[in-house]
Amino acid sequence: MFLQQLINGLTLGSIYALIAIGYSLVFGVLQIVNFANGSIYMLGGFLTLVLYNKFRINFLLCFALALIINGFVGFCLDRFALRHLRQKKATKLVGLITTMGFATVIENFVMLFFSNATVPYPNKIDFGSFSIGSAVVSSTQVIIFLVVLVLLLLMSWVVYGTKVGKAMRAVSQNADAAKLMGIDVNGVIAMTFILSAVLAGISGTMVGMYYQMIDFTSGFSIGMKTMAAAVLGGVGSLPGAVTGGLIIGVVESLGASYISSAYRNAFAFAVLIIVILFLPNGLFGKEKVTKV
Amino acid sequence: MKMVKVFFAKNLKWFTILFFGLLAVLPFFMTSNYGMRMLTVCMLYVMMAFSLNLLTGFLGVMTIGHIAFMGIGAYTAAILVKNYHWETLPCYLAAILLSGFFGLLLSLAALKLQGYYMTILTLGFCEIVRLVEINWESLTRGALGISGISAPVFFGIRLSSRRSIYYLMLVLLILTLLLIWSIINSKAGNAIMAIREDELAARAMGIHVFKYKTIVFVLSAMIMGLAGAFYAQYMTYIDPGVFTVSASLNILIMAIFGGLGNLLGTIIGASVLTILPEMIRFLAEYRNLIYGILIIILMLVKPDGLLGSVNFKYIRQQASVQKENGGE
Amino acid sequence: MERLLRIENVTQKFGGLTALNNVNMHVDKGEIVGIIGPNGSGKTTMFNIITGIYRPTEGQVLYQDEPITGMEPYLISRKGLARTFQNIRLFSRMTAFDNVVIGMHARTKTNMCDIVLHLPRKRREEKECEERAMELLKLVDLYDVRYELASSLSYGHQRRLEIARALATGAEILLLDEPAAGMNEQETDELLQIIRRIKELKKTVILIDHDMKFVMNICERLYVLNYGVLIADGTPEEISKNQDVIDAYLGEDDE
Repeated sequence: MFLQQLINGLTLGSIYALIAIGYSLVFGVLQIVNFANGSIYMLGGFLTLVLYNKFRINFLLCFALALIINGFVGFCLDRFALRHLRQKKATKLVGLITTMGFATVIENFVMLFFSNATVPYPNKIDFGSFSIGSAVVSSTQVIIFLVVLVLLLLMSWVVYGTKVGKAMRAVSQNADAAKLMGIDVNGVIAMTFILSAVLAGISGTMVGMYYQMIDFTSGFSIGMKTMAAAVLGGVGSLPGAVTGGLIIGVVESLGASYISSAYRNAFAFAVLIIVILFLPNGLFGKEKVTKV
Repeated sequence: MKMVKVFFAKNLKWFTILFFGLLAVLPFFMTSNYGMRMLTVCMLYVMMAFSLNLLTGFLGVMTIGHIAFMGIGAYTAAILVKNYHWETLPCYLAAILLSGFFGLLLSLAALKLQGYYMTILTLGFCEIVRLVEINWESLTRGALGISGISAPVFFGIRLSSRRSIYYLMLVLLILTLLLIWSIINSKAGNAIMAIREDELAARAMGIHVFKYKTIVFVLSAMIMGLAGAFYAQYMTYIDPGVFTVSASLNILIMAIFGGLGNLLGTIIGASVLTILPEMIRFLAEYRNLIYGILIIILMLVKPDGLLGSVNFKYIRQQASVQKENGGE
Repeated sequence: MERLLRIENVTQKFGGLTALNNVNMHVDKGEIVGIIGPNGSGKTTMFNIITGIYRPTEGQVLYQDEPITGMEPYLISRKGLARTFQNIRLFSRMTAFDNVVIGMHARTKTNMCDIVLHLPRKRREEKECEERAMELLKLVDLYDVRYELASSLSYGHQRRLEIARALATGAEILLLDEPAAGMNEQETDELLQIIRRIKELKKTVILIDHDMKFVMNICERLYVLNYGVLIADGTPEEISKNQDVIDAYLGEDDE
């Protein structure tokens, strides 16, 4: 039972990690928490499903199409809302509320035009299962795990190995200085939003297949839990987001089976509160030296 | 326009008294039950938005889980009224004390943290409180909620008419406003705003930052708790679905829309955003979509909110200099 | 002469970097003492240690023979040490007058009870604060702009407002972090006047600055830091002839 729950928790956690990275990237360049990320995750899952049901063509193609649309939504959030706020030098709080407004819009859009109930989701990566000891591992879990692993490697290559990543890190260090160095700050921020929306879309589709269902409210709780994961790891830190995601996935799984499944969604926050009290900057966050 | 502004700022106190005087005589001219209900709900939201404005607007601490305290207050009152048949005044007291106590606990943990860490922590607190409300069925009846909560009773007198409840709310609102008004127009208010402007400089000027943050946090939690206690007896029914993070955000949005750091703005902002969803009720299921779009547009067009950039104290001070110099 | 402040064997390390290395200083009542040195020599770090923003790795700070090392900044401020900041840190959306009044925060006795119940003490103390704030604003020649928002004041005015705010705390010792930075000649002259006025009030001043002419003009005694090490101390005259100091400055190519 323990091993089974651990495996389930790691599967869940790996997806949390993927979404949490989105939060961390956006936080890195803009210092705001993107509350719409959870809804964008849900939207991604729905888009794949809707396209697939509508056109009945290759699932992967629909998936790719959904990701493109999702990335575009992420782009719009920045281009048509947050960028204007930056130009007006509005406070971060206003940016935050704007992302919340987007979350409301996306959720209600999905509810009105896609479905207001729980919808079954086809699992296209179910090729049977095998057992390790007493635990059963499904191919879905393995594939999710592998996809996340590949994406994490890809992301760390993008952030630490490419020019775009370098620009991202420069912007998160000091946006003004980056601008003076000729970096297209707005471009980098837009890129970051697109990346995080695509990651969220991939997660949304995979979770849909994993649970074989999806509904329009699912974005909210996942959004909050992954936000907790990002904070737990240390906001802005990529290894932190991954670790935070895994920890929260595992704790949630174990807590739900050993303590109480009713409190499933509370465990993430319980862990968060405990960790933050002892490590105020999260697991991997750096302590800020006050510059005076 | 400027003259009007100055005149208004100088006589703000009188305008406020006039405004509440009007609210006090309004029930004698208003016959519609619906109108009375709307006004009462408006005042309830204004009260809660005041609490968030004090915390977020004046102190600069942002929480997105403050509705949890409303929930704590509401459940406290509901349980005491229903199971123990308490009168309203001790219920309110209990609600205030309990929400204040949890406010203190949360603030001791949260206020040590910086910016977003704290905000996310309040979010977590709100979720945990809500899950307890759902799952502690023996006490809260879980997702079913508590129904049949009786109307407020003060010294044996039952306030069952809409009008008497309206006046109860009005009194609570005025008390809240007086409290917040006194604080922000005092040494403590200066300290609080100094912390918002530059925490480090405030510390260097001898201000005990943590003390003020805690006091304000607990006070705002208490106001939410009191609002919750009123809400329970007003609606006669509560369930955990009311005390969600989204509801918390809605109240925050009211305070921001009105203008952080401006109490008049909060009155306008909370009233408009309470009435607006009612007015677009004809949009039926499209209502929330439109509401979301409106919020985004509001933020883009007026990031400071309606009156966020208006500082009445500053206008008064400016006017006093001009008078001295004989100008205008 | 009364010894107000003593800094004993203070070392401050940030990770691998030693910002201050075994520094000793002292300040007597009524003195104007300057701390000079090239960029990154640890001057502001020293201020941060004295005012409690950093806790030194080693060593201690004594104020009137009482250790204040690593005490909370608000407590140190209440003991009688107030500072200004290199990068101006005013309460920008508040008026000059309110900024000064906030400086008096810890000196007044009004408590939450007085405030909520509007007891007479509140009104009385507010009146006193107002009068005192006006005096201080006049002292730094900002009376005319007293009701301007701090953020709308000119650079030189902002620096002076910081001084008034620090004075308002009732501090014995004022620590001025680059008070003349970015000022033109006329503004610097006005600042000199103000610091002289502060000295007449029997206050003690410690200041950091790059402007050698300004420092030599106003300070009675100087400490010179270079890479976190105290390389010289003495009167301006002695310092200007000190070979180590000349080397440090010439080596830096700074002013």
